[in-house]
Amino acid sequence: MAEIDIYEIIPRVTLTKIEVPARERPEEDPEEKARRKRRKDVRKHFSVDLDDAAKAQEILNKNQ
Amino acid sequence: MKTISFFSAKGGTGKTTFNMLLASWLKYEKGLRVAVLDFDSPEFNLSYTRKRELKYLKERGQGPDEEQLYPVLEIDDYEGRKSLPVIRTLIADAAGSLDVLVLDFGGSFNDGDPILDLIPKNLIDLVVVPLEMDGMILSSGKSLASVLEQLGQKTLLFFNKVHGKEKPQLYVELERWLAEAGLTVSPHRIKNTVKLRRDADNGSNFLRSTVGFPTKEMQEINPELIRLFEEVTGYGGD
Repeated sequence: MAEIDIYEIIPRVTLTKIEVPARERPEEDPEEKARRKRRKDVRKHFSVDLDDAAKAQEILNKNQ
Repeated sequence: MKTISFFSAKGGTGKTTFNMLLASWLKYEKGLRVAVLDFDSPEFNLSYTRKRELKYLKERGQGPDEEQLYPVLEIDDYEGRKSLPVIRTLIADAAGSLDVLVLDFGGSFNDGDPILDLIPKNLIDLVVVPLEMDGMILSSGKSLASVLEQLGQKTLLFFNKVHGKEKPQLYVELERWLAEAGLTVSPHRIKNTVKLRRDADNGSNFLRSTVGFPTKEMQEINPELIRLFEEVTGYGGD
């Protein structure tokens, strides 16, 4: 059986690395910085803890 | 001037109903100078209720003198950085001419929401958080109030939609559970009653209204609501 050169069927593709320039970051507005910190704080703290919710539900179930 | 808001990060907990009832009680029962800022864009349910009530009453030739009602201002297109100075000026200007300013926010707690811009500026005296008898809602209220307290905001929690036949031990244990996070809960528990949610659409039933406060009916149906209002405002009995 004749050998098939796979590259005759599938065109060769050369991958070229594209350099993406880093985005320029303007100096941050102090109020914007404070808002980002607040958002971070809120995200960090404001979540429903399922174990805590289960604890509350247990208190409810026990006393109703 | 006191600035007060019933608030939760969850919908359907009664924020707008309580803010409306509080403003109406202060104005029509206590005779105080009151205004409401409605931040709940785009629905503006509190402001919409006012408009609907006026329309309903006018159609029946019973239009009240609008100057005798408390103003409800819609704060639209809120974008913290742009509107915050305006809101701050508005609140500062109101301080001399109002006794109580009631703030009605939408049910979310994310960056860019007006409540998160006002809290760090110490513009709200008290945030009142409703709790319901469900594990997830209790835990969510506890978490919200904890974050508010960490941001330096004074809070008060209260039990809402109770049926009134719970074992006393339930409250002892729940209060202990909330105290773990350093939170205080009001002794005034609000009974679940659909009558609070009725408004002008039901015709003559005006329990939830921006144009009056049904003191006699409220004393019969939900007297603890008035006690809660007395507690949060400091305006006690006669």
